[in-house]
Amino acid sequence: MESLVAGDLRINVDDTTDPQAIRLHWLGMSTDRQPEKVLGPFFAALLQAVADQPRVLELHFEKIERFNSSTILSIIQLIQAARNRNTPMVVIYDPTRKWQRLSFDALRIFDKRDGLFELRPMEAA
Amino acid sequence: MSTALCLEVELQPEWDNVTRASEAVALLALGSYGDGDLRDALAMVSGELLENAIKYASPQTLVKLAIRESASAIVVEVTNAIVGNEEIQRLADQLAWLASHQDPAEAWAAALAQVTTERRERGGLGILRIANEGGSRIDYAVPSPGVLTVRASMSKAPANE
Repeated sequence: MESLVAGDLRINVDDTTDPQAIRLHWLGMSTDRQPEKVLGPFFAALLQAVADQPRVLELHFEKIERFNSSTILSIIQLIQAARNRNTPMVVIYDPTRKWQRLSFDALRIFDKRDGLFELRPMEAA
Repeated sequence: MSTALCLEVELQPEWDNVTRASEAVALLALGSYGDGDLRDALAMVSGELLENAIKYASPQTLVKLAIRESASAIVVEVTNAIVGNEEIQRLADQLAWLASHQDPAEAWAAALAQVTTERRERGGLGILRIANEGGSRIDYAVPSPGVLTVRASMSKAPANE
């Protein structure tokens, strides 16, 4: 699967390191007015890829500089779409960065203890 | 030695200016506060306020961004021309939602939960994010007819976490 570059945002796709997971490394900034226009088709392709070959989706936000609230909506849509397809997802963030801690902590509402969504603070180096 | 942050700029209501301005704020904050949480918060607050202004501002008018620092707080202020009272009502509704919850974190989580059930319009998260993640108190004023100023004030003291 191809990585995504859209404006100041880059999402590097790593589907080779771990045969059990597709890792998305978010970099740069996601500040588009309508991020769903770019992220929607990308996420659809991603979900198709894991439908063809079941794997865990790992979303790595540790290195992203910034995103806007519209991007959070797109991420939530992906979480819901993955759950609807029984695709396990893990969101990894950097708890030492206050903005990430406060933004991502709220996503715990999607952790239904069914193994389909996990919020994971990055381990200290 | 840190220097007080002070910025006042007028922008064309173009989306690309949101990123440019918030990057400029991040750069200025880097000089005043270093590469930390306050810099991240200022850039986010500026970006979200400008996004709202550009989404809802009267077209063909400038949007003003001002940042002022006092001994205890930093105030980010965005002023724009508006058409009618729709934007003021939207803002008042968001602030009422915020006030109806125990704290900004609870309001933020509740709003995200509503998004998933389609009971909430897609917009409106920016103000809640400013309160939660930016640790800011938000208010607004109508300094003259057809003009809206939205202010986010963040304490310089370490916030409760």
